[in-house]
Amino acid sequence: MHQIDELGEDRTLERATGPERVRATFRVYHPDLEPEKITELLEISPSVAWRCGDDAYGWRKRPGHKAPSGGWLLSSRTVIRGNNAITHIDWLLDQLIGKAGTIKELQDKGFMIDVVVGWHASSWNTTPALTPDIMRRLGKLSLPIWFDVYLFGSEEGELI
Amino acid sequence: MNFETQPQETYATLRIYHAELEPASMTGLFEVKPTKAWKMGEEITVENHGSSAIFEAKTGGWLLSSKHAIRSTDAMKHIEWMMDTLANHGNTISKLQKDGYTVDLVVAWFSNSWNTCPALTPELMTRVANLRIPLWFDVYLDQPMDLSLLD
Repeated sequence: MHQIDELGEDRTLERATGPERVRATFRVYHPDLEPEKITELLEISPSVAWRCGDDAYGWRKRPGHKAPSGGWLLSSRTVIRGNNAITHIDWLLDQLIGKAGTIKELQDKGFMIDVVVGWHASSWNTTPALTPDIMRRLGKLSLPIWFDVYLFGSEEGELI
Repeated sequence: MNFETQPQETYATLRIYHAELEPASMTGLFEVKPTKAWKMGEEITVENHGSSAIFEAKTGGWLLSSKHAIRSTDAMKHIEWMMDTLANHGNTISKLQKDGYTVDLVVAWFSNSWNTCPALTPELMTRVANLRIPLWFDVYLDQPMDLSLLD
């Protein structure tokens, strides 16, 4: 985005917000996390889940890497095609409809729960955006959100 | 939040645009002086990488920035300051949007790493959502920091 745009033109949310690749992930972590119990509580199958101490855990499944905590992840990466971040977050929040109480109970028990939007772009400047409706939905579910921004294809240390 | 989320520099800017925008009227509505404002057709000086250029504004604009009000690299403190400043102006914002004004909040985020993590809490998102303001993270990575509109 350039300053000239900021000064000279009306801009809408649809402009200049598209990355090369995007995905949204709902994440639950706790040392005592038991994947089956979270699946039962949320009534959704995770994209990937593991217990603390599992070997070759998570997306990468690298042998010799033991999980420092239990994890339960639900991702839009294999479900939603396209690079509109709002569509990915919307899909994720649709899966969690009616689960605000469960999420709050888990948070109160010390589970770390959030939404991470992986945002991969090939420009020097990039612009993740949130609509008021999406922010309201996230707020009602007590979910913090992160934009995990990567430029030029670097994925070292990727969070999700 | 248990990840490093602080950039080298950050600030939030409320932006209002409309072809018929009158800066003085907008200032009266919000009861606060803008950081920058102009009418459509006025000449505007833009600073960029140490040089400046003059453009004719294609629309009217009224910008309020946290840049000089908040000394912090925590983006949420800048957004909170903006929400506090706008707290009693929800109806004004809603009316402007109905009248066709573009209103948004841009969070400029300058980081010198290849990967960065702008974050928002549910409480802060609810405050922004209640004012019906869309929010952008304008992320600049590994860039000089003189791209600011508001130097």
